[in-house]
Amino acid sequence: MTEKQETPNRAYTAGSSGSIRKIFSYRELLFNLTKTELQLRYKNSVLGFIWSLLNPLLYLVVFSLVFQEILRTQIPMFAIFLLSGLLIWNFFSSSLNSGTGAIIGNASIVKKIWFPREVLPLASVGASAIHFFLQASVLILALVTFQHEPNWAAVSLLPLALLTVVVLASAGAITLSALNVHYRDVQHFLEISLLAWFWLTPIVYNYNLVADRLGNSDWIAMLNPITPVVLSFQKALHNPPEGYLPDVSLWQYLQNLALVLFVGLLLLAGSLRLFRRLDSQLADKL
Amino acid sequence: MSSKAISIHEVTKTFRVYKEQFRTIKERALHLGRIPFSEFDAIHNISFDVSEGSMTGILGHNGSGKSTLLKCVAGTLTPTAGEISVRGRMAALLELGAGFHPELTGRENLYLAGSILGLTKQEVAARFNDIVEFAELEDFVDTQMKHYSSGMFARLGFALAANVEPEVLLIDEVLAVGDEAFQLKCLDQIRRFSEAGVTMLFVTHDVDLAASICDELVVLDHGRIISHGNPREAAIDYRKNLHAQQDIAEPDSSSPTEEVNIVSVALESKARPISTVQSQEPVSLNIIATLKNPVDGLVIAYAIKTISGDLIHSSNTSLLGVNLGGIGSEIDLTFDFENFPLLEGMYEIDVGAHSLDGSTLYTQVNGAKRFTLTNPSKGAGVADLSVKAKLR
Repeated sequence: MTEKQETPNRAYTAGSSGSIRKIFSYRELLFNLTKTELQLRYKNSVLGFIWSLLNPLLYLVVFSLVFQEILRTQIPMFAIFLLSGLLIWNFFSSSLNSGTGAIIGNASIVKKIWFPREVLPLASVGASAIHFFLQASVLILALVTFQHEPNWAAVSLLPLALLTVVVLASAGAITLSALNVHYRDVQHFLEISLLAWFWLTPIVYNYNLVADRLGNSDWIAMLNPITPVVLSFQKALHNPPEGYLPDVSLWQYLQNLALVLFVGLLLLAGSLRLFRRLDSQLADKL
Repeated sequence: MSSKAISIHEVTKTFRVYKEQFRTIKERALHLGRIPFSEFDAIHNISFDVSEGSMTGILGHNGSGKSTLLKCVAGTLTPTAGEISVRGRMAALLELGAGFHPELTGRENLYLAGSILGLTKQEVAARFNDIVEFAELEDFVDTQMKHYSSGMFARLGFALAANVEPEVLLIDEVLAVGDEAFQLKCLDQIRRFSEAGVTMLFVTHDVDLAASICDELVVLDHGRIISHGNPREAAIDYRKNLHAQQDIAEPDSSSPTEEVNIVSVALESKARPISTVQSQEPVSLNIIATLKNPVDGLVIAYAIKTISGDLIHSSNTSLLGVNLGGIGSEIDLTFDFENFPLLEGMYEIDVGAHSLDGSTLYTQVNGAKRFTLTNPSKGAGVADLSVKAKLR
């Protein structure tokens, strides 16, 4: 006789540790939904995933034209600088964008079958992560073409930086997906917020340009949790001469990342709790 | 063994019905605190248990809360009050093919929907051929599902769910899809589940089907249990309740005098209700009627017809020598057939009550019972004449 599991369904159950266990037991579904999201994005298109490579290339051409030729930015190797920050930003913003609609977009399944619904926004993060790696090939191609040497010591920061983005994006996607069911404003609000957030992050301009103006209050620029991540990528891959990025030790970069990661984990735990609370009403509201 | 597989304890689900849905913050702010809504209990204080390996049917008219209850058990809805616990691996057939994405192929969808039901990739792969074969979709498995017909969609859905090997299976009105042959196949599968000890909770409108396959029936009316227990008695309660509500009457029933009311028409085999008749086996037609007063010279008649309405055979109590005169309140009448020499197909039975000379029609229920007949012998038409061919 096999052990049978009790699955109680009452008004309120389990905290965030319970949800993590449930999500883990549905990892196969997470994997499949991620795959489906990628499959669907380019189903019936001739160029397929090449479109996701064309997107950063187009950005590259436009921004290079505007910033290098018109605004005369002084950043050397602007293409590599731009891509270093832009790709990781794209990962973050597309996770939030598609994660927000994840539950509404799958209403038909949510209403009919029980499974941990957190899996849906997480699949959006997963699909965005795969995209990030695809787009990273453009960056690697650029590094090879321009024979640009990365800062190998700083490259060792990147796994941590990537993990930080995954945690932040997951927390954001889980929260927004559930809130969006209750308030459809969320997706519109997110759209304009992400636009502002993009320009508040040192992606097309370098960090010191802002930090120098702020003087002693340059910590304000660090309040943006994505900034330390973007800086780590720029430090590692673009590796500019002194004066463009904060001239502090890699140890300091690591500390900043670790701090953001810690905050991100708290946010993730909070988002799982919030999701649990809203979860019981999701099917009623859809 | 009879431990509880599903235990439903004082479950209530309350829905708020808003006059309008205010989804945006602006609208909420404008209507803060005075959003017009009314509350209603889709199901109210429901308690019953389903013991392991048994099959319970939930009957009820439209809007009686059947589906809400099933969704609460499945976990897609959370009850407002009360508690439900389910022991064992559960699969819910709330809608066949839920989780299938039209843009993906049948193959891709099986892996996706399989994982929604909690199967691993290996488990889907191991069952893959069985599923496709059961659904009879071997030639279309690599076609995008948007090109499938709705029947194909549902067939693949049922085939998948049938192969999940659940310990607890929830079924919501899903057998109404597909052609007759596939419905029979689904019923067969449900019987196999039953034999394999799967616990089932089964929502349906089809009283006869429910009464024939379930061990117990729960009858809901406006979110409350009005009858629970033995399928035959519960089915009668359900019919009585339907009759009591004039707006939802039996199909095409007319009772000009209201002296006699036919409350139940069922086919039985070996003392169990059935909805599929095997042509070689004995079958009983059971009719239950209620009377206001004893009726002198009352005759109850039946007519077996093809679906297109052609009469095959009819008879009545007078012809068969049963006197119904003097029976006071309830008539529980059985016509026993030794066998049913008809060819495979669907048939209907009309039932009526009239006076001995035929001058007064008390009541008539057309299409009171529809049934499927299975018969291995071949031939076209209606009658199964025993025939052999040989060369001389």
